[in-house]
Amino acid sequence: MSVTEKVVDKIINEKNISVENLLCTKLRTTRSGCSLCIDTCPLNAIRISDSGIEISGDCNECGACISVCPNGAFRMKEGGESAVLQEIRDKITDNNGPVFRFSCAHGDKKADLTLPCLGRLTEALLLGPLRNGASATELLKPDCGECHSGKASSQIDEVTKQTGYLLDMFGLDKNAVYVKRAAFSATPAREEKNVSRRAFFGSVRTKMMGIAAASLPDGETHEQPVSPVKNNKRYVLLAVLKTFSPAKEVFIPSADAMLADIEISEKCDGCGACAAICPVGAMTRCDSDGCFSLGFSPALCTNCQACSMVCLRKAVSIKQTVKLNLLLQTGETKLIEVKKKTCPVCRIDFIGGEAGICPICINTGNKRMAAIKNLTKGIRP
Amino acid sequence: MSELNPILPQEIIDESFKKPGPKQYTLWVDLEYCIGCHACSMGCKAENNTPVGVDFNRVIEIEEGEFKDPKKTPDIGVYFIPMPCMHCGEPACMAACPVGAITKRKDDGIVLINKDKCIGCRYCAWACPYGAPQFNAEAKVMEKCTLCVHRIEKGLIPACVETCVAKTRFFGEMNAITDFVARQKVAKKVSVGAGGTKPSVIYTK
Repeated sequence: MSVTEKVVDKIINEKNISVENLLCTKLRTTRSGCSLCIDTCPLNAIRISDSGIEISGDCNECGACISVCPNGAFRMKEGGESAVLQEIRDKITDNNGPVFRFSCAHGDKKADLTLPCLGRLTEALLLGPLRNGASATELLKPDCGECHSGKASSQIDEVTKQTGYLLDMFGLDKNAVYVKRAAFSATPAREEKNVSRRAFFGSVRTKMMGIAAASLPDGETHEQPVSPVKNNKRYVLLAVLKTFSPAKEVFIPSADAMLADIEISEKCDGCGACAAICPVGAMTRCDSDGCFSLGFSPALCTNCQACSMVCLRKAVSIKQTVKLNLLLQTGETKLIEVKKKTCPVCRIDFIGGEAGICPICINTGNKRMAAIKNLTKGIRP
Repeated sequence: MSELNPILPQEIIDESFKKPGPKQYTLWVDLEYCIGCHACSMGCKAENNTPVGVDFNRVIEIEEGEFKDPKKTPDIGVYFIPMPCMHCGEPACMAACPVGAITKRKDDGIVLINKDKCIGCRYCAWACPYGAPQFNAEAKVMEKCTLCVHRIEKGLIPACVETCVAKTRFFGEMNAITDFVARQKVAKKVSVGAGGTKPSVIYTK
């Protein structure tokens, strides 16, 4: 593709949604069958291939993928999580209404905040109004069956349910976040802004320059991120949760939870695959003082289960129920700490194994001999 | 000499390179004439600059049989078996890799480890029936025989083949070698196959 074609392609297909492949569980490990974004996208605009996540031109920026991906692999370039929270804060001081009302573009036009689609809402955004003094968060939801983004409807229910668990933990009314039926209006509401001509052309110029720069065949734009990519979505949620104080301990079934509680059994052989694969950096490996240890930060865990799927020894297990309060725990807990031995054959440190030789050397040796036996059998019947 | 020690004709090697479409590059090791000099291992080590402990090619020495009764003829055998990566048809390492770092190239059948993707978990070492993948402790990634892919792409033959003193190791396309071996009077194909991974390397005795 030539530079001109790239620029044209970017202008036509450039979406406000950016993707972060390193945060995608499916791209981190072939073992994961996660397809939450693909299943949720109302327009089937998401494809995941070896080269990464691709959003096709069909995307209408409803933001359901942002809401559904627990790892925060999708981000709004403009109007991200923090920006919407700021908007909520501003609107609340204007209104001082007891109930904060969200609506989608096809819903009630008198709502406090109108988003393109309610499927874009995350737990952090639903808690936002409550944190800033509103008594309840109301979702004015028209009949999603009439909307082309209707498939995102299930995501609204899921996020509302998850927010209910969080409210329960803070001793607040579970029903402080609720869905209310609204009439469907066929013409989508658009926020009209008075923009001067100078400002309009100024913004066009800035955007075009950005697009042109990104389209240049320059190595600079493809630089590997220096620091590990962070799950921004979770960090925003944790910041919102900090403003509440926990009232009681809430236990929820693991299958339904936004985090997992992980156990490591003594079968662990210290390969460190779980830590290497964890997309959100909730599992960390430490090799200091001749010890192998695994650290776990439950607040960062998104219950993607990549660690347990990947473990060859089946040493990583996810507890049946999880204490939601672990979300508020800062720092990491040590799951396992074992002294390392050095293998006299391969001179590599290892843990476990009964003999003084590392289990991999024994296994490799045995298998190699079995193959050779097979070979010599053919020579000397 | 050629009757005793079949040498893969240059035409077959040349044809292997020219053949269009998907092929399976591989090695042919004639165990009859391997003298266990380890030149292939050394050639490989020099070519691929592998650290101590990492050997893409190993020569295993096997002594078999019994020599208990001095009145009888001893029933013993000594074999030198070079063990490179078998570049399997259905690689067990590829199936075991949790991050998809191991791929089998469609056009030439070479199994390669992508070191950028590899997380060094060594699951491939557990899975491989031939002990081919090795852990590079310095780089913290797995490495293995690449069939000297950097040389093949230049039209050269792998270093182990070039360095073989006894001319008992050859490089070429799998089907072409199989056909050639089948036409030989002396060399008999023996299978190394274990674990159903369809190894491509051909051994004869």
